[in-house]
Formats: sequence, C-alpha cells, structure tokens
Amino acid sequence: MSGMTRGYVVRRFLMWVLTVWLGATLIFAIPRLAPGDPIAAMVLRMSAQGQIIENSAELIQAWRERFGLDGPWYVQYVNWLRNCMTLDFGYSLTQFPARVWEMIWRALPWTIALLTFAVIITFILGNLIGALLGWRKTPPLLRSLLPLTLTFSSIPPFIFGLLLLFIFAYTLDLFPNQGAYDSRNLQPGLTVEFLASALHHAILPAMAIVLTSMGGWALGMRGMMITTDGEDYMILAQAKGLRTPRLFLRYAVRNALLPQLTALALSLGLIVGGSVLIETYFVYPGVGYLLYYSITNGDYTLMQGIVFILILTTATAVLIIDLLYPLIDPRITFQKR
Amino acid sequence: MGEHSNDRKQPSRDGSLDSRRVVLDVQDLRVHYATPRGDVIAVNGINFQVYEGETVGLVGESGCGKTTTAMAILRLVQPPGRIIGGRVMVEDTDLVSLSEKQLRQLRWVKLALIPQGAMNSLNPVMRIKDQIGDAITTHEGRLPADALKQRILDLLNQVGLPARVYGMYPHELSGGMKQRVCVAMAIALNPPLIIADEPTSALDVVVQRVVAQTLLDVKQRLGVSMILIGHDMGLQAQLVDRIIVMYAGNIVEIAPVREAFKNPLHPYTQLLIASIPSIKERKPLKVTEGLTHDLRNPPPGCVFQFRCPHAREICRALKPQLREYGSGHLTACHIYENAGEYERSAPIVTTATPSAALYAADLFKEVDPHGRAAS
Amino acid sequence: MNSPKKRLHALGSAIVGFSLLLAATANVAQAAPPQQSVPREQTLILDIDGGKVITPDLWNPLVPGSRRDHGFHQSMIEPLFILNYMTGKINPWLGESFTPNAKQDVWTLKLNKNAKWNDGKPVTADDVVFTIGELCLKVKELNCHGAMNEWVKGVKKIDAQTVEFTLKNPNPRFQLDYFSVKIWGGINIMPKHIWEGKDPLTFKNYEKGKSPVFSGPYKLVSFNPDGTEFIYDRDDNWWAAKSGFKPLPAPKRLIWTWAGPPENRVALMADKKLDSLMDITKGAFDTLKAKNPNVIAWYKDLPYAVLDPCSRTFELNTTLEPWNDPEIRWALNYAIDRDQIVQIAYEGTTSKSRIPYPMYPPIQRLDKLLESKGMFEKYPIWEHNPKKTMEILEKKGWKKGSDGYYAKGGKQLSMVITTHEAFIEKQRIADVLVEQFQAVGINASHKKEAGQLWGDNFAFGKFEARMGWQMCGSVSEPWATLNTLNAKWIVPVGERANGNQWRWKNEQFSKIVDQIGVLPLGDKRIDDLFVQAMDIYFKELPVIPITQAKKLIPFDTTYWTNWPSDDNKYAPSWTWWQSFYDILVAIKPAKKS
Repeated sequence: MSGMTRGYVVRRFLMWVLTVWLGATLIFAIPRLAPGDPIAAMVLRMSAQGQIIENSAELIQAWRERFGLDGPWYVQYVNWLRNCMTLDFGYSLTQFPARVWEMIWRALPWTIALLTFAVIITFILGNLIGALLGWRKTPPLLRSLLPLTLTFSSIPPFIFGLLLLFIFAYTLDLFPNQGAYDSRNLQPGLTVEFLASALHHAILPAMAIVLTSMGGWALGMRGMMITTDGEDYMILAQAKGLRTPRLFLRYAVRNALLPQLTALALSLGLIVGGSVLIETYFVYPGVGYLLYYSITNGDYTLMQGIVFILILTTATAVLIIDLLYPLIDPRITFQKR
Repeated sequence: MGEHSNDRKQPSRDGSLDSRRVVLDVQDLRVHYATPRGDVIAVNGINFQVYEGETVGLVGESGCGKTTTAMAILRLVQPPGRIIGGRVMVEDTDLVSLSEKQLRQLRWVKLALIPQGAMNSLNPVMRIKDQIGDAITTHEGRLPADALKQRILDLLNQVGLPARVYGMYPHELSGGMKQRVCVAMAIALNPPLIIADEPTSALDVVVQRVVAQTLLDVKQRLGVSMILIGHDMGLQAQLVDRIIVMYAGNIVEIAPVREAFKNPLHPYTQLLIASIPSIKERKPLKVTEGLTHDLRNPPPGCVFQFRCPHAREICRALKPQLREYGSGHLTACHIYENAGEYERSAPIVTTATPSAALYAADLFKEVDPHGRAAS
Repeated sequence: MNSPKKRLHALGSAIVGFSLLLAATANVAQAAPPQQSVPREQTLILDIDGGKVITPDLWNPLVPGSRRDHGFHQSMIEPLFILNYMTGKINPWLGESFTPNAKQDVWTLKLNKNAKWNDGKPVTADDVVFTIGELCLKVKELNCHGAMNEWVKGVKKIDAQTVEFTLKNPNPRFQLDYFSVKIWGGINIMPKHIWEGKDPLTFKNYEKGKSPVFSGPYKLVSFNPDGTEFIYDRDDNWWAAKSGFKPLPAPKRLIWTWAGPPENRVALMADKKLDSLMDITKGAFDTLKAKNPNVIAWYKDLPYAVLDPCSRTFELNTTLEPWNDPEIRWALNYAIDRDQIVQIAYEGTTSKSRIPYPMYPPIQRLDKLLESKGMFEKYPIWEHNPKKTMEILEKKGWKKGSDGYYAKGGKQLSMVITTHEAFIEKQRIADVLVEQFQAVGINASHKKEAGQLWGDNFAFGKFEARMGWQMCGSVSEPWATLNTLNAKWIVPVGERANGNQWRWKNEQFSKIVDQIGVLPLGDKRIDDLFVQAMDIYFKELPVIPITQAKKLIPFDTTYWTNWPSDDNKYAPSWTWWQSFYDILVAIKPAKKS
C-alpha cells in the first residue's frame, strides 16, 4: 500500500462523510414528501380496533408534539442529524415506548450472523460455479451439470424456502421449521448448546439464500471468466505449460474476481432488504422483517433508523473495500495522476 | 503440396545449404476458424522447417495467418479456431497429436513464446518474480527460495533489466520493460525454440530498437532458434536468417533474407518490399490495392490472383506449388514455372518501385550483424 | 504458501465472531426459558394472529402500538365483561354488574369481590378510578383516552367494589362498547399499585424474568427475543377458580407462536404442533383435514367458517356524480351478483348480505323483523338484474357507446374501486365486482392502495368507490352500525372525517339514529325506529351490503376438545380476542391422563 497517500485517505473519508450525510438528508426528506400522515395513520390503527375515536385531531396533535413533528422543518432536521451522529433515533412511532435503537439491536446480530455467512458462502460458491462455467477446460460432464445448480435461482426464494421447509423440516424432520434457536428450552449465551442450536436453525435459511442468490454471482463470474480467458496473459500462461489449477486460480479466477468484489461491497445494502422473505418464511429474527414492518406500518422513525444503519454500513463497507483495494488489485494506487 | 515436407535441406542466411539439425518441422499444417457461414481457412497446409540456431521470419499482412501459424505450433489456437490437420514436429515429437498432459510438460521446455503486445501479456495481479518463477517451478519442481531468486535475477540481468523489477507488478513497468520481462521469461528454461510474435509491435521506435537488440543478444548468446513473426520488414532484415512470406494462409515464398530483399520472386513479396515506406518510419504493412478473396471459399488457382498484376489464365485454374528457383529460394508462382527455369535476369516481374533493392541494401546496413544498433 | 493456514485462521475468527454476535442477544431483555417442560397433551399451542411481536418486552397495553393478541389479553389481562355473541347478553367477568340510571348518563360498576391480581392484591374500585381517571382521562396519548374523554365526565369510588361513572351525555351502550369485548378487546383496568408513579407512556411493565401483574389465569414465563413465541404457565391461584366463579382452565401451559406464512402454519397444524389457526383459506382447510382428520371448524360442512362481526360492504363517495344519485346506486346494486361473489371470491365459505350487519342471532331477529315488514319486497336488494341497471342508466340519460360503455355528455361511466393492499379477501370481491360492472357497461377498475393511504383517502373523502367493512359496529343491537351513517360526522371533502366518510347526508335518518342512541339497550321502541331508519337506508342505499365476513378457524381435537362450534356455540371461535377466556375455561383434554 505504498501508494496510499494521506491526502487520498482524507479525501476518501470526506467522501464517506458526504455520502452518509446525503443519505441521512434523503431519509429525512422522503417520508416528509410522501403522501399520508404517519401520526394520523397510527391513530387510525387505534381506531381500527373497533372503536370510533371521536377526537382524533386532538390525539394526532398530542403525538405530533411528542415526536417533535410540530416544529419547523429545520429544527427537525438538526435534531435528526444529531440523532444520526449518536445513533439514537428516539422512539418507534408505532411501538412507543420502544426505542428504535433497542429494536434494531434485538434483530441486528441475527441478521449479521446469518447474512454474513450466507453471503460469504454464496459469494464463494456462486463465483466458483461461474468460474467453472466460464472456464474452457472444465470437464464437459461437470459443465453440463453445473447449470442445474443455477436453476434454483429462477425459483422465487419464498417458494424455494417452502420447498426446503417441506423437504427438510416437515418430511425428513432434519431441521427445525422456524426460529433462530430452541427458545422453548435454551437461553442465548456462549454455550455449546445454544450455538449448536443457532447453527442448526440457521442452516435452512442460509441454504435458501445461498441457493437462490448464487446464480447472479455465477452468471457475472462466468462472463468475467470468458473475458479474462481471452486476455493475452492467459495465452502466455498456457504457453508456459502451467498446471491447470494454477492457471485457473492464480491467473483466471484471480483476475475475474476483481469486479465481483466491488459488487459485493455495493450489494451489502440490498441484502438486508432482500432477506425479508427468508426471515418471514423461516420466522428468523432480523432487520429485514423490521424494515418491512416499518414500511408497511408507516413507522417512520424505525424506518429512518434502519435505513440510516444500512447506509452507514454500506458506505463503510465501500470505504473499507476502497482502502483495501490495492491489496486486491495492485494496479490501483492512491496517488494522484 | 507437401512435396517439400521431406526436404530438410534448406539454405542459411547466405544461401548456402547446410545440414544443421532441424528443430521444428511443420508439415501440412491446417487451421480453420469456424464462423456461422462456414469455416475460414486461416492456415492452408503449410510446410517449413527451422534449423538449430536459425532465426526464421514469418511475414505477411494482417490476417495472412502468420500469428495463427505461431499459435498452431504452440497448440494455442483460440476457439473458434482449431487445428484440423498436419503435424508440428519438435525433435521427433508431434505436438499436434500429444495429450494435454504430455503437451503441458513439453511447453516452455521445448518451445517458448514471446507474445504480441506485451502490454497485456503479464498477469496484472502477480509480481514479476512469481510470473517468471512459476514457469520454472512448474517444469523443474520446487527450488530453494534463494536459488530461484538468483536465477530470476540472472534472467532479468540477461535482458538488461534492473534487479528491482524482480518484486514489481506489471503496471509499474514500461512497455519495453514488460517486453523484456517476456524475453527473460522465454529464455528461463533455455528452450531450443522461441516464437516471438510481433515482439515490438506496440512499442515506440526507440524502445523497439532496444527490444530488438535484446532479442539479438539473446539469440546470439544462447544460440536459440527463433521464429520471428512480424510485418516490420526492417526488423526482419536485422534479425532473421530466412524469411517466409505468407499470403491468405499459404506460404508464397521462402528465401534467405538477403535474397528476399534483393531479388523477391513472388509478385506479393515484391509488393511487400516495395511498400516499405522508409527505414526510419516503420509502419504495419499496408498493401491496399486489390481485394483478397473470401477466405471461406478460396478460388481455384493461385491465392494471389485477384491482386496480382501478372495474373494469367493458369493462375485462375491451377494452384502453383512451392518450387525452388535458386539456392534455398522457393516460391509458388506460375510465372516462373512457365518460364521453365529460374532466370535471375529475366525481367518478367518488375518491382512496384525500382528502388526496392536500394531499400533492402539500406536495411542491411542499419544493424550490424554483430549486435549494436546503428544510430 | 501458508494461505491454507491463514484461511483456517480466518474461518476460526469468523466462527468466534458469529458466536459473540449471537451471545450479544442474550443481553437483550429476555425472560428465562421455562424451568420445567410440560407434556404436549397439557399444552395449548395457538397462532399469533397479528404476526411477529416487534417489541416483545412491551407489556403496557395502553400505548397505541402495543400488541395484545399474543396471549396478553387472552390469558393475562381480564376484561370487565364479555358479550355473548349468541344471546346478545353481557356476562360478568372482573365486573359483576354495570348499570345505568334511567337517563343513561350515570353508570355504576360493581366489581367481583373475589377478584385478585396475580400478586395476591385485590382488584378494587381504586384500580378502576386510577385507570380511568388518572390514566385514560389525563394522558392524551393513551389508546383509551379518546373513548373515555368523549364520554366520561367523572369517575368516583363508592366503596371498595363500586365505581360510579358520570357521563357527559347519555350513552346506553357505554358498557357494551367499551367494557364487554364487543369487538376484539376493550378498555382494561390496570393495577394501581404497579402503575402509580410511572409514566404510563414509557412504562414497559416488564422486568426480566418476571411476569407482569394482571389478574388472568396465566403468568408469562418466557418469550424469544424475536417476538415469535410466548409461553405462559397456569396460575393455580387464579382468583376465579379459587372463588368458584370459573373452573381452572385445563391447559397447564399456553404457547402463542407465530409460524410465518400460511403455508408454514398449516403445515405445523397438520403436524399437530398447533391447536388452532387464525383464518385460513378453504383450500388450506381441505389440505389440513386430509392430513389431520381431527381438525374441525365451526360448521361440519360448507361454509365451515364462523361469522366475523364486520360484514363486507361496497361503499361509494356520495358527494361524487353520478354516485350521489340513489337511483344510480340502485342501478349498481342490480348489477351485483352476490352468489357469484360467494362462489368465486370465497369458494363458498360465506353467505351473502342484505343488511350491512353480521348475522348473529340478535341481528337475525332484526333481519326477520325487516322481512316481516316487507322491506325486502319493497327493496329487492338481492335481485341481480342487469336489465334494470341498464334501464335506470338509460332513463338517466346514459347511452351505451360503440366501446360497450355508457357515456353521458362525452363522459364515460367509469369507476375506480380501491382496496387495502393487505387484504386479499376484499381484493377478490373487488375483482368480481369489476367484472360484473364491466358486464353491464360500466368501466370499473380495481386499485390497491397502501393501507395508510387508503385510510387517509377514506377519511378525507378522496375516493370514488371502495370495497370495505366500515359500517362495522353492531353485533347485538342495531345502533352502532346505523350511527356510522349519521350526518353529524360529515365534514367537507378534504377534511378528516371520524365517521360517515361517505358523506351521505340524510337529516331524517340521522334524527332517527340519534333517537335510538339514547334509548336503553333492549328498549321496545328501538325496533320500530330501526325499521324506519332501514327504510331510508334501503331507499338511498349509500353503502351496499355484499357478503358476510368469514373466518375459517380450524381447531385440532387431538389434544383438546369442546371447542366452540355450530353444535356447541358457547362463544365465537376467535382465539385472538379477549373473549377467549370463555374458550379457555371450556376446553377439555382429549385423553384423560
């Protein structure tokens, strides 16, 4: 990383700050521009429980004040930015008096644990399959069998999840059908039983994510491999009489993988949103469902909190990838041209 | 066709026959490229030999099949191309019929490549030491780390590169340095034959000179045989002993280099030499007049008939065979066949510019045969 | 060269990271799992109706977002009274009686003298006065504030078991509407000794490892941090059992679980891992019965399903041309084929409506009354007669164009029916309605709107037609539903209306409704006024009754029997209502152990 200058790091960090700030501003603005009044909707839900609320305007005003939604927009904006900096997003609009941070924190570890592992496995498997598909020397039998693994990608994840549940949970009874651990008998903690149970519960949802999403990586990787295969250095490497594994891994895959890594950092934000169905079908705890809940129930404070966390993590992941990129691709230097 | 395939005796640079060992014997090599509208015949049954210590130039305009020939010799023709026939004999082994595994073991040991366009020929994410090193360790097994390092540093030294290149990445090197890394890599296993595919094509004039000099040094020091592919007639004149001229997948002339420049026989060779713009300004060959035939569907008769200023009826009917018309000077042209015997003075063919011979003379002056480049 | 080792290292640290992350969840408020296990045959496992409980550590039922359907108000918070849907009678629970004065503006509540909180303290008038007077009336943001503030002028302790409510206006339905689980739940009494001195808005009413203090027959044992499973164990000291008021419920343990999408839940029930489910489709029910023959529903045959209190209505914005014309509304009614809706949208699991009421026995009596007065001959609401539709339209000057649609003055007769995007049942009705209207030459279309927007558009009068249930209100008496059409609610389009969002204005009708409104429940004069009001309603037809609502609720008899059904209708089947106590004390183990 000899080429990394301090100026670059500072610039890149300022970019990160700008991204996060723009994100925070958008999150602030969009709900305020959207139709419908979240407070009114909340009050409407109360009245939907069979009672006519005869003085809803008064109630709406009371809640508006409590959430600071009655002040001028710039005061609300400054408050919001302060919340973002302290990661304290106040109370949930629909789950008052639950605090947004507390709700996110309850779900986040599961999301990170499940998604991190599923995404890493997906990334490795998808790229391996794609690399083998795009590699000329792949044995024909393997080459004709591999696309079968990609057919899972064309099955909607929820149907696939159901299929997995039906086969492995209900018919074979190998895996639990729901939950993140055996909550009827165990308590979370650093115990072997709990971790084993957590792992056991994570396998089916992870499988559903991996099998349905590795196709995208595989197709991208296949294309990159074909492009790479036509490169001059591949021809020279072949002429050198290198053994196939080295040719495949150090020359072809190593180069084809570079754009995929960038895509990985960028996809982090999408992954959480995409895991809603998995969380729903496997009744797995997670931020995805929380986000879905916040949107469908008009819980703006919760939604803003989650989306801000997503922006923050994605921007940070991109920052890290950017700073680490010279380790991955020596051509990238941070010096100004 | 193929009547010369058994004739291993061919002239050296000065035209004298010799009986040196044949390092490479290409026999009736055919390469086709599949296209949706039929196969393109890229190499149409060519025959030639390369002797020990000899440098053979393979010239012709873009698309004539010279690079395909080189790739076919290395068995590296990229799809949709494929070798459909012939033999590539390297020391009594036919590369075309070897298994992948046997071939892999022979590669680089018997036959190395200096690629075209060195800009992209090195793996961008590997250090130079690893890229030279893996060629060595693949074939010789693992060496002690310091022995390997010493060997790589020696190789770099041999091509005139500083030791710091050892730990660098390709993008940190200039085009000329990269090409010299490729030369170092090619000589790493001391192969009997190196194929250099337009080794200077992407470089600027000064750097071309340096790379050419490196090649010449290496050749003379190691006594390695070389096939030098290129359309740079100047470079050819400096480096090669014999020239093979290809046109549309066929060899139209084989001649000792001086003969080729001074007394080109085939009308196409004459055109080539006539089109050399100037010594100082080397450009890719551009012979614009006339049209090449559809390579999917070659006409009966001579491949050059549509562009040949001397084409006759027989040229449209019968394909001329390579015949020897002087010591080691072969051409495939009906003009000479009909003349009965080769007459050096016969003004049957006029060169496109009368000064071609002068150019040729000039070219030979430019680089002195013992190595140093002229200013 | 050492990269395999490195990779192993990375994998190792990743696993450690994973473990730490999961262990971190242990710090989140979380009750300990139950110490002892309870056999399946002593456990009742039920479906959480409303999905995951987003904040499982929130046990304050007074804040607007709080959830109560995960066993909270079915096993811990007891109601004062429970309305019997079959008889229309209001039965005592925590409350013994609740009686109005003649003017219906002073109500006296008497509590069961044996009632106790699960910490042993008695339930007294102080708790009621505190809850209504200090919490509901004073804290505007609480969910009980709106209703109490609307009606209650003062609340006063008479003695330890007696509380007097003074109302701002006479209200004969004060007990029915708010304290008798008329629909889903009601206003509940909090233990004063727990709540006093707490901020009722931020009080979570939960301490790790402890059950919140309420009076019900079960105590909270544990829940998972994801809010998908809640475990309650029976409190054998339950006051009602001790005093002989009610038998001790048979299940030792209650588990309320959310198993995800319907497919999973059905699969679980087929596996006998759930004893009941919230509303499922007929297809799912057929599958379930095939896999588990012990499964029953309300009826043995079609329609299987039990009636839901909110009948389904097709609603028009009566401020818009041409829907402001009663004759045009009748033209629409003639175009509607309700039998087809029952067959297509419901697969036969419901029945059609001719009044906008749920057909429980007390309402059936009213329906018979209307029939005996010749109302349904005078207003043939079930007549599907597209010819009449066309006649009316043509009489009104609409002409059918070459495109097959009616038009007048260059304007095509079109209509957009909106539905709530989350409610498939209503969407399916809307789709059939679109077909039926299209068939007579009305260019109808269906648009799904996000729930919040749909609700706002309704309140602000920014809709044309909708498939809804907003005349919902009455289950045992006629007034609540009629009152949704009262002209007193009307505000201009663009302002938020709290009722009569269709903005149908009929002074005479409203006058009758107000007259009924102040009569005591069961007053003889109500019937006559009801018929008069319905005469106006039918003539004008501002909201068109379509079908009865259905809830297909399966019960598994493998472990528990004596579930409510048409043969044994001691209570409605709703496991997510606060009236579930009626079922809880009635069910019996299938096998004697």
